[in-house]
Amino acid sequence: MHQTTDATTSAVGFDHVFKAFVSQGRRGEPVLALQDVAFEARAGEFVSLVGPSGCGKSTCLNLLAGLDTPSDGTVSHRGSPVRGVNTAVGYITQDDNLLPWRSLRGNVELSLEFRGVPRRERRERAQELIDLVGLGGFEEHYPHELSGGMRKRGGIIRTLVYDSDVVLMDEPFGPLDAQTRVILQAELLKLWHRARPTVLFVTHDLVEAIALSDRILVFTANPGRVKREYTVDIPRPRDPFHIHDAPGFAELYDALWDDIRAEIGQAAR
Amino acid sequence: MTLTEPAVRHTDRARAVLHRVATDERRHRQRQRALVWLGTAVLGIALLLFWQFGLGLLVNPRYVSDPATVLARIGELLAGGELLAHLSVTLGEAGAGFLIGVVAGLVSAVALTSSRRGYEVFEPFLVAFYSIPKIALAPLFILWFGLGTTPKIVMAALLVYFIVLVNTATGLRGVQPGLFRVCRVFGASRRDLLVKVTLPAAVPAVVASIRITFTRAIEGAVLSEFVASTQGLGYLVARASRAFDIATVFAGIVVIAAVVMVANGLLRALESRLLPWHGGRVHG
Repeated sequence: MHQTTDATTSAVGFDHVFKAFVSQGRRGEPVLALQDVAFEARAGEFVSLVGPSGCGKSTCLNLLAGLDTPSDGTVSHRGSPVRGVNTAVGYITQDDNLLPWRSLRGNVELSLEFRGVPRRERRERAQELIDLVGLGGFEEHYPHELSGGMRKRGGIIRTLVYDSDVVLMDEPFGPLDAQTRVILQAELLKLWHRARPTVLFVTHDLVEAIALSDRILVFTANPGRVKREYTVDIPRPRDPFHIHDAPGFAELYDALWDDIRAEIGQAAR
Repeated sequence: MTLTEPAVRHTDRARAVLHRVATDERRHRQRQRALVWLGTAVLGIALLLFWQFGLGLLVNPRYVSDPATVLARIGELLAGGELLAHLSVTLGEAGAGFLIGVVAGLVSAVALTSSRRGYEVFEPFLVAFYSIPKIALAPLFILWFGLGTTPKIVMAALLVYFIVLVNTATGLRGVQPGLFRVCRVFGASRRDLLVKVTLPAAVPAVVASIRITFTRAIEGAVLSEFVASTQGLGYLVARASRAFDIATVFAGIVVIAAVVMVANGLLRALESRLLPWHGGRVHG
């Protein structure tokens, strides 16, 4: 299922993308969410999108997933523009969106069912990932019987199970407590190393962005645009539990925070 | 680095504590359950005693039978086979109306909600029909469909239809949008979304509405029988009241109540069997 993309081609491309939304109010005045967004992500690259709330980070992911269409410019995946719902990517939201009436196993197998993967293969592929994140023994549990961290693991592996070459993650660890977050960051890195998909990761947590990413894009406040990009040089494999001690962490953190603070000030005015 | 929680190992002391807590909890629950049973029994007996001795002081005692007589009358009616004949007629009408109403309600709800504008076009009419006290239509149904079972089935079906339709449509329209977005990117087709997301998400509302509507089906059948009929529990009660046969009136009412309660209990049991993923109980 993996597309053979050599390292020079971009897995994801945003070419001068604009997006305007028409609000549901009586006026119907359109609001600009993205303004001239341009960036690329190479195959296998882990890219984080950070910036103030409402700066259009999630919109970028929705455009790439084909759930929204750009008002202008082109969003491309593997070199061709996204048209319609893009089922070739993985999409992970802040809510785990597990189907409450399906067991953990049933949820992990769901996307494979939609894709017509035969039963036996579904079982095997789901089981591999369930075991990998330590959820063995909970296969027949319903989501309401699992802890928040377990549900989140389930939500992630059920997206990774179909081995898409690009995975979009929209603040996946947002609602979790601080300890579970770090544990899940470590698990995510483990899963990422397994198949090395391109990841676009939206977060508000700068430490998380540094711990996980190859590159961090800082977005401006309304309308959203790429303000600056940072390369994270911390060598892999990384340990999210001790990322604070990594060389260069403090400088990077301060630089990111300065950038974002300026934007928050902007948004507040 | 392993990331699973470490296996918990208990000391003997911890095991003893766990055992004691479990025993205490069990005992506590038994006591609570016994209290509830006791309270229920006391209240039930008090009500029967009031009926036997007290009700005659409030209304004309000639029109108040007593529990003993009513029980005896139920026995007589049962022995004569009359009761079962009426009961089977009413249950047949209610059952047929129920099935028709549920199926028609489900199908209409899926059809209506498959397009948002479609639902908006139909909605005011649905609300209007929903607002009619259906029993006002009973005399019309008798004129249209005669004295047989047809008008009763139509009435039962109509009562059921609207409740199932409105509840199912609400359930179908209330699915979390996030579920759709994720599943669409997973590659779900329109049919997949309907069968694997929309319908299961609506199941609690549907099941709850099905449970509460069985009562309404019996109500519809009995009320129609009241208006005009030659058989059924409603006929039994109506005929007895015209003859001032109060014991039979009460006997009929008790039997109707018992039937509805048994049906509700069965449907409730079925509901928790059908919805193991639903943490809480669905309330109708």
